[in-house]
Amino acid sequence: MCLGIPGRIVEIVDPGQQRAIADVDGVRREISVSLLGLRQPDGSVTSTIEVDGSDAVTVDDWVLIHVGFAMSRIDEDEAAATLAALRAYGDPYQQEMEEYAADGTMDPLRMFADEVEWLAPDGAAASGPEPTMPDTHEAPAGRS
Amino acid sequence: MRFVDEFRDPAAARRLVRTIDSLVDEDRRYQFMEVCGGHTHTIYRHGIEQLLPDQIELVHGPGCPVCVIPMGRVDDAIHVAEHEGLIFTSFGDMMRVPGSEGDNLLAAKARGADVRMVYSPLDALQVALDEPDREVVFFAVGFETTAPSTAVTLLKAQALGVRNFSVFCNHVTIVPPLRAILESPDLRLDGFIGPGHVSTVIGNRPYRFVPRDYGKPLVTAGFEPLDVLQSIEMLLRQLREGRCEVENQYTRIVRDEGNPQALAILARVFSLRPHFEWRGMGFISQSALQIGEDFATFDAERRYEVPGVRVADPKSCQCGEVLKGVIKPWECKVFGTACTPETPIGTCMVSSEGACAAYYNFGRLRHAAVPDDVTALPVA
Ligand code: SF4
Repeated sequence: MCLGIPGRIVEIVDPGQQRAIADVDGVRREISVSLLGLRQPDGSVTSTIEVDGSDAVTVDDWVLIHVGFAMSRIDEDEAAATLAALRAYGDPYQQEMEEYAADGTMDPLRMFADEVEWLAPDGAAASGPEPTMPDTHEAPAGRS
Repeated sequence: MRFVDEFRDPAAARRLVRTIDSLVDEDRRYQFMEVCGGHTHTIYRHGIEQLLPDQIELVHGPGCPVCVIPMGRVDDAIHVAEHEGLIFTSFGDMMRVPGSEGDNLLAAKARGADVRMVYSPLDALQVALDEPDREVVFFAVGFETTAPSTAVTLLKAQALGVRNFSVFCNHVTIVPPLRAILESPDLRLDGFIGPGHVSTVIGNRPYRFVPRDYGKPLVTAGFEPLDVLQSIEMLLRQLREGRCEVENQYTRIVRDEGNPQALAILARVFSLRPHFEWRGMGFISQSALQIGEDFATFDAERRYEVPGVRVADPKSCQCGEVLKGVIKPWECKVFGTACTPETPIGTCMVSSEGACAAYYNFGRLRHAAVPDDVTALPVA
């Protein structure tokens, strides 16, 4: 119940009532944008309550939806920055860890032993040192 | 799905786990509490505990709004729901939450009460508009994430002059239980994974007391696996560098100042209760919201007699210890035997965000080390 889902605003239904249609993975539903305010094509902001307009949303904006309300506008620049940071992880560590693994004291790929799908070894990992799997675990094959 | 799939990228997760490995001091243990049940869910669903070095333990906190509702309040809800001719609306999660003697809203419905599930408080108001001759009550639960939605609904009900709608308010606030946990003597935590969605409303500033008064770092985190892993990495980095701060991992959603409009609406509609009982944690002062004077006619507690009886948790139930992170779900004596998602004894087994249910649904087989079954794990 407390989980929020990201969706895109695809249509304004009623600016006065702060009603809009959101698309979540192809499923459309009416939501309320009262907690953020609505930006009109001419730049003005409408709201049913006091809104300073800085978070006002409009068609094509991505929002986090919770119990039928847009809670927050998703900041696409911040999302991109977080992803870029996530992609950069490990680079300074990669080499050190590979050396570390090579002396046989520790296997940094032991996490592959976990059967969790989203962490199944991918092509890149397979080209590294052969992961040592516990006997009882099978690495899920063919996923990336 | 955008903003979801990319935060589940396995290659990035592997690199993050390596970085986490490199930041861990081999000779010490780390206990991090994820405050929010949404994180508990992510952690079990994606097997994050199994990925982390053995030195790191994740402790599941009190941030599941369904799990913290005490039995007495559920009894009150059932009592209201059974008023002749009344329509009682609730989020689905609350339907099987046990009141005393195992009673719940579903059972009340089976006995003839008109209990309906809604996705949004606005849907509950719509029921009232559609059925003007019947009284409609909405069972409001949730932290600051959910409370503004109830508040907007009440503003709308007031503007429309709706007379047959009221709210049984059980909204709670996150900071007081956090403080209670920090004051609890049997806990030794090294840091907090802060609640992401509560923070969309209250921002990051209310957590400043955690590093300032208790010397613990806190990182507000998103709900995808990479978010959780990155927040753990940020906590470790703070510890390693001798810093102790509130940091924000979830910058795509959470602003430091929160959502000022939502806070203004909360202040207009609600006031703080002097104290509120939390399941397993007892009374915590100023930890919940009640409907303010201007909206008194929409307050179900004033409109209907509620018994308001305090009911002690069942003896076999150890939800309190689970909610405070003192024991792990599987350490509860009735876990998985008398207490299952189908027949919950405690609330932690009801909501998908409850630690016991999350563990029962996703973590159990792994922990039990049944190698042959491992590939059959439910992974979403
Ligand atoms: S197993 Fe059931 S009774 Fe035990 S702590 Fe979990 S929810 Fe509570």
